[in-house]
Amino acid sequence: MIDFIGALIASFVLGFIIGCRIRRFSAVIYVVLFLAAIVVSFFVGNYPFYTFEVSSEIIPLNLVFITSFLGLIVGSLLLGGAHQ
Amino acid sequence: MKFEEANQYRNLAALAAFLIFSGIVLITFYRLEVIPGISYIYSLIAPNIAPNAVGTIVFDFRGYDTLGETLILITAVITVGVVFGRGAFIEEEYAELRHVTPTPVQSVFGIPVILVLMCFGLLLIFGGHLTPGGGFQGGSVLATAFFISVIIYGIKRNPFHYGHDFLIGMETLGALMFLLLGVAGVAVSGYYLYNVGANIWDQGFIEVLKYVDPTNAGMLPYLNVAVGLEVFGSLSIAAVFLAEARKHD
Repeated sequence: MIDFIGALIASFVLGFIIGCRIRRFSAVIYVVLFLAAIVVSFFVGNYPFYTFEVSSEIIPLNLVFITSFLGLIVGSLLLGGAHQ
Repeated sequence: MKFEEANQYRNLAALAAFLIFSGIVLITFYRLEVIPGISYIYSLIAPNIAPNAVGTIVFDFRGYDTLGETLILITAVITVGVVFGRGAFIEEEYAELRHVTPTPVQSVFGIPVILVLMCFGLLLIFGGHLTPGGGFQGGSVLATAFFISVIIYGIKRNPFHYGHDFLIGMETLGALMFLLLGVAGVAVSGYYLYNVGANIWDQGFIEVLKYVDPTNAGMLPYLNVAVGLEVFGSLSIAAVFLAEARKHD
């Protein structure tokens, strides 16, 4: 169960704003970066209580970290412009 | 519209905004009643507003002080801009950090490290009312991530191409957000920077950033976001100014 939808949306929006000035990279880099983000969010864990539960089992992934990352990447892909 | 004419309107708007904000702050101070022993009572109440008592004190109890600290950053950036600003760049192309070639290790690890740092900065901003952290720390981490990119890639070929206008926009947006959130307090209670939504006697209505806790931080998370944007913009623009400055012979 996720009861911090507001924080997820706000982190995505802020990530998007900051990410819109990051130039686009190749697709392979995005896949590697996403895996790296999952690993780091696992180690960040429930730092400010932003983990979620699936049938009373706490998943030790920090969702706000992941949505921030997705915001950065989506902003970069849509508005970032090509890398020189 | 000519530049001089537009500049006149801008000055008038700035004057009006200055008068409105200063009037509101002065009225708030005039109406403020200081009750002896209030800090002791507040120390008991603070953990009921947000889990991070330090955040509650910084943004709720002494919000004016934080507002001043936020505006100090703008003053610092203006000073850096005046000293190292555009007028001093006679030969921008010769700036030391303009053209930098990253080493192979920097090329491979630079982008992941910077992106992870940026995510961590955002996480610190959104956890400011819950745990140690907040807008100042989160904004500093974001600015540090950007400055690492400047060190690795330089200004010219940096994939994180935050220009002057974007960073000044971030800084202005953060400061404006902080000031306008204070006006929301006037609308609800008559006091500038009143923590709207955290009133423990009424039902809070700002619950977008509600979290798993019986307390309700009100607009503390929003103030954290405002400060985070402001610190990110300020420190980054100062870093850009310094990086673009030409090394004197």
